[in-house]
Amino acid sequence: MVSNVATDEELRVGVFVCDCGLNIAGAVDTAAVAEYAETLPDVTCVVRNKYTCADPGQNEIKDAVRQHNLNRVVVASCTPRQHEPTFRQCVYEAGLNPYLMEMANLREHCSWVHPDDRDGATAKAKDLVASAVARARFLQAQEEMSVPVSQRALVIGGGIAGIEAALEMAEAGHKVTLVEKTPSIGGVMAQLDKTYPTMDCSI
Amino acid sequence: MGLSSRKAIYIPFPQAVPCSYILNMEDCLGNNPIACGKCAEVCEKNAINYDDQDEFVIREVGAVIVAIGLDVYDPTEMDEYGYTRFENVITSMEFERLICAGGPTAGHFVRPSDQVRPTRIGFIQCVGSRNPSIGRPYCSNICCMNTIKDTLLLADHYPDVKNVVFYQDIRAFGKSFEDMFQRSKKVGTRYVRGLPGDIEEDPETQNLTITVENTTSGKLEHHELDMVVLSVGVVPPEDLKKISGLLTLSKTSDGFFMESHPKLKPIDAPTRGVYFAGFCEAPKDIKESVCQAGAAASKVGGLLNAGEIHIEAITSVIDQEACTMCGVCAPICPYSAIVWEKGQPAMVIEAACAGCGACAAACNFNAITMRHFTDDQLLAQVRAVLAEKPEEKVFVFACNWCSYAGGDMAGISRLKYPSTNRVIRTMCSARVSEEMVLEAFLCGAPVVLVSGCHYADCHYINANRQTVKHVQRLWNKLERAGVRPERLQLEWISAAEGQKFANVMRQMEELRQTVTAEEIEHAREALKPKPKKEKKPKTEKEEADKEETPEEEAETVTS
Amino acid sequence: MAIEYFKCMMCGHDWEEEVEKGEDVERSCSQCRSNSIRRFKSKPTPKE
Repeated sequence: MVSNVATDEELRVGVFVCDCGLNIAGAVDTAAVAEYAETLPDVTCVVRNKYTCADPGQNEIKDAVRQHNLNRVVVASCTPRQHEPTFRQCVYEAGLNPYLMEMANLREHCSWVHPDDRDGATAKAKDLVASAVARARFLQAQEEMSVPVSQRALVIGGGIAGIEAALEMAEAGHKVTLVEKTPSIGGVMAQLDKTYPTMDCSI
Repeated sequence: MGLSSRKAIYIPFPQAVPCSYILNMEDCLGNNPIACGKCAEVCEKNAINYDDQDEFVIREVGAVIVAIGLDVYDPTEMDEYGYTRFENVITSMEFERLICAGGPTAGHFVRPSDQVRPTRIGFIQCVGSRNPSIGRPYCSNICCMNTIKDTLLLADHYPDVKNVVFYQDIRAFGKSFEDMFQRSKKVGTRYVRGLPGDIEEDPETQNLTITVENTTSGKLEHHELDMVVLSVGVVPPEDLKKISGLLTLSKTSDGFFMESHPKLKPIDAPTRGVYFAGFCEAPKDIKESVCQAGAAASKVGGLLNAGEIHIEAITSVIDQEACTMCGVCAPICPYSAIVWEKGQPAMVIEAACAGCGACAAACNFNAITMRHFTDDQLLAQVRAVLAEKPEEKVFVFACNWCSYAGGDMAGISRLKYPSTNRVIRTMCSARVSEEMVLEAFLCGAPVVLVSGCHYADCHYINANRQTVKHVQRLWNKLERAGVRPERLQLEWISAAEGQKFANVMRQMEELRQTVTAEEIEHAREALKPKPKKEKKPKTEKEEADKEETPEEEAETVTS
Repeated sequence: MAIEYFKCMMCGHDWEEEVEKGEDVERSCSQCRSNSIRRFKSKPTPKE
C-alpha cells in the first residue's frame, strides 16, 4: 500500500469554522469548536467566519493560506455536496491543490437537526472537525484528468421535448442525432387534436 | 387505438415526419408474387425494400438529452369504470382521435356503440392519478386542463352538448388556465365535485349511468349519459428502466427520472453530461416541456463549447508490485474498468473508472488505492471520531450520493434526531471495507451503520451489491467472535429520504443504548486482528467457502 | 429456485423465502422496514 502521509513536508492545517449567520452558531458553540480545533494535531491556524462562503470569508481563507503557509485547509461549514466546488476553487486560487481541502458538515448534519441540544451538537461538531482534520492530514494533491468532449449531442426521444431540444442545439451550431423508436417523430403530442391553452392544432 | 383499420403499408398520420410509407412486417404478406408484392409493382421509384433490416449506427456523443416522454395510463384495471366492458366508455386519448378532423371519423364526433353523436358526455378526472391504492399517488398535471379544453371544443362544435365533469380538485394554475376554466363553466359545463363509485350500462340503449356522491352538497347523484370520457393520467414510459440502466440514472418514488436537485438542478441528471427534457422527468405540459428542452439544449451547448471536461481525481490505482494477481477485483468493477489476465497484475483503465472504490474494499492485499478516499484517510477518520467517549456514539458510514444526501435532506427539512451519530462519507457504500467496520468496533464503537443507495438508485450501476456482501461477511465474523451481529446495521436511504435518515438515526441510538460496556470491551478484544499469516492468493469463491461455519451451516450467500 | 432463510438484524423477525438464482432484489423487513437483512442458505439454529 502506498503511504499517503506527506512525509516530505511539514503539515500545516488551517481550520475555518463558519457561523453561517445563526444557521450554525444558533445551535453550535462555534467558539468552543474553534478553540477545540486549535488542540488538534498539525493545526496551525484557526479562523472563525460569519459566512465562509461569501467573499470576505473566502478572502480570509486565502489570506491565511499565504500568511501561515498552510498546506491543508479544513472548512467546517455546510455539506460538501453544496460548497465543495466553491472551497476547492478558493484554495486553488490561494495556490493550493484543490484536493487539499476538506469539509466538516456542521450545518445539514448538525446544527439544523439538533437545534435544542446545544451541548450534544457542539460535541458532535468537535468530532466532525476532528474527523476532517484527521482526513486532511492524509490528503494528497491530485491532478484531474481532462477529457475532450465529443462534438455531437444525442437526443433520445422525438416528442415535443426532444424535437425542441434538438432544434435548439442544431440552431446553435451543434451536431445532433435524434433517436426515435417509432416511424414518425411527434410523440404523444402528435396524437392530440387541439392543445391548451391556445386551443390550436398540436402539429 | 383500434378505432379504425389500417393497411399493412401506411403513413403513420398525415403530418408524419418523415412523411413516407412504412411497411408493417407483421401484417405484410411479403414480396412473394403469389402472395402479394402489389406495392412494389406500383411504386414507380422502386422505394419499397422488403428486405430492409435494422442496423446499428454508432455515434460518439459528448452529451445526451433524455426526452423519452410518457406512457398513458391504461384504465382497464379500474374495473368500476367499465373501460373495455362498455363500448361508450373511452379514454381521453381516444377522445382526441374521435374529435380530430384527421381521425377515423373525419372529425364527426360519434360514440362507438352506434355511431350516433352523443349529447350528454361525462368526464371523470384523476383516472390513474392521485390514487395511492393503485400505486399512482402523484398528480399527472395535464388532465384537468385537457378536460377543460375538451369541454370547450365540444361546446364550440356542438352547442347542444351537455358536459358533466366529475373531479376531486380542478388544478388550473398556469398562465391563462383559470380563464379557460371559467369559460368552460360559462358555456354550460357542469362541474360535480366527487369521483364516481361506478358506472352501469343500460344493455338496450348502451347509455351509461354514473353514481356519484357530490361532496359539495353531500348528496348521492345519478347521471345518465351517452358517453363517458376517462381523463387518464400519465405513467413513466416503459423504456425508462432500459434507458436508466444504460445511463446509470435513477428515479424518484413516482417512477419518473430523478434530477440532480429538485430546485437548483432540475435539468441535470446525476450522471454528468446527461440532461432531461419533458415528461420523463416529471409530469408537465407542452409549454413546460418546451421550456425544459430549451434549458437542456443550452446546458449541452455550454458543455460542448467548453471542449473538454475535468474528471474528478477520484479513481483507483493498483500497485503493480503489491498486486498478487488474484483477480478478485476485476469482476467486482461495475464498469469493467479493471483489466486482469491470469498471471498478470490487474490494471485500472482510469478513464473508465467511476470511483466507487468497491475494488479497494475487496482487495485482500491492500494493493488498490482509491485516490482521495484512501484506507489511511478513512481509518484516520474512524479513529479520530472514536478517540474520546466512543461508547456514546453511533458510528455511520454514508455514501455520497444517497444516504449522506439523505442526511442533508433531513437537515434541510429541519428534522430532529439524536445528536449521537457521527457520519463518515465515502463515494459509494461499497468503499467501506470490512477492515474499516472492524476498526470502528476496535475503537469501541457500540454500534455501526453502513448506509447506501437503494438498489435501483446505486450511482455506480450495482456496486452496492458488494456492500451487502461485506456486511453479510461481517455479521458472520462478528457472530463467530461472540459479538452481537445486531451491532452492525445496514440501511438503504435515498437522497430524498430525509425522514428515513432521521428515523434510522433514532433507531440506531435506541440500539446503542442496549449495548453494555462489557460488550464493547469484549468486542475490542475478540476482534483484534490475529497475527498475519502468509496468505496465498485466492479467488472470491474460496474466500466465501472459508466463511462457512459447518456446525451451524450459517453460511452467508455471497454469490 | 431454493428456499433461503432471512433474519432482520433490527427487530429479529425471521422468515424463509424461495429465491431465484442470480436474483437481484433489495430486501427489507416486512415488520420494521429495516434493510439489515441477514441471509442464510440453511436454517440458522437459535443460539444461547
